[in-house]
Amino acid sequence: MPDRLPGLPRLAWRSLVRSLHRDLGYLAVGLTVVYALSGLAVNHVAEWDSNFQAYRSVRRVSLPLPADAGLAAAAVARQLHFRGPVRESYRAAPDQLEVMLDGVTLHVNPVSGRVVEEGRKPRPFFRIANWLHLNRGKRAWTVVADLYAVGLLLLSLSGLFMLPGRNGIRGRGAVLALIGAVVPVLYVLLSGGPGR
Amino acid sequence: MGGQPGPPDYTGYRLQVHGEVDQPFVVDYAALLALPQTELTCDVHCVTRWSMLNTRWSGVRLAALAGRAGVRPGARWVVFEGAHGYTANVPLHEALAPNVLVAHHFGGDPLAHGHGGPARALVPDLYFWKSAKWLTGIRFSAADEPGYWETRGYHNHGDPWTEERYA
Repeated sequence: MPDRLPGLPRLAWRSLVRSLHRDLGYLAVGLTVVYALSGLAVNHVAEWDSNFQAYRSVRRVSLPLPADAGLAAAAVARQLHFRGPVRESYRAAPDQLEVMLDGVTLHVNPVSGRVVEEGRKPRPFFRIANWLHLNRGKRAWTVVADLYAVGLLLLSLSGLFMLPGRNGIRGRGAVLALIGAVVPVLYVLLSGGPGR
Repeated sequence: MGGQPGPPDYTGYRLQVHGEVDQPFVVDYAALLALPQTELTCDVHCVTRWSMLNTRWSGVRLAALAGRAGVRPGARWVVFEGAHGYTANVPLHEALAPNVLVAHHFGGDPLAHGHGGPARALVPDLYFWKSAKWLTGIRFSAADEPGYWETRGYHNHGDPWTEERYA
């Protein structure tokens, strides 16, 4: 692409491209960090719950507990200093009382006083990043995400034409861009692609 | 690989045994615990290449549930039904093995929700994706019905000893 188009003043188009690339790059940093880290997490969703961290601990309560399941559940929650309400209580067996609070389940043995507490704590950054990334039905965020995607497209295209000569699209740029494009194509071809 | 978790709901938990049976039935969690129990120590193997050895489970033998339901002669497969539509298919003769349970305790404690509680299938001789978590139903079927992972490129049978990982 010539720097001077016939009949028009000299246009420093490459400088403009570099400026566009630079400014889009700055704008994209924040969201790229969010989407990239969230993408890493979601890519391994089968092995790791990035939204929550499960925990389990063994505790004890004083006996005896009331015979009524609801009263027993309240007594357990009080002894273990849970502030929230008991959502459900269920006596599954003489030695197993299930107490459900918000985000926590207490498996209580009313015979021995042993309590297994299991719950999950949110991982704040990933929970928010995944919520943004996976974008289920948030209209306003759809606009933002679309703009970000367009910005990334402009970043990648402007990157192709930023530099002249051997370091640009006529030299190493072409080689690297080709490698980058060939990787997904090869993967699809060698793996057989999506099923029907 | 267990699909989307079901609710940690003991009060509302129901396990449906149905399909090619003469007497389909439904049990709640307390009723499940009141049935004859089996304790089992076994190794489990996940297709993602981890194993846990000497795991301790308590539950109800699938064969006992099948006996109560009266499985019809035409049944050839068991489909374990988990929360949110997750399924896993197992040949009937393997599902009736003595080490196949509806498991509700692990290591002596109630099965943690993250690991499939209130109850899950336990099929130790196959890759662990066959041991459907958050079990809601056991359906006996005349025809094979490949389950969630089987229709997504994983082996229909899943024997860890012959490494039947992928289709």
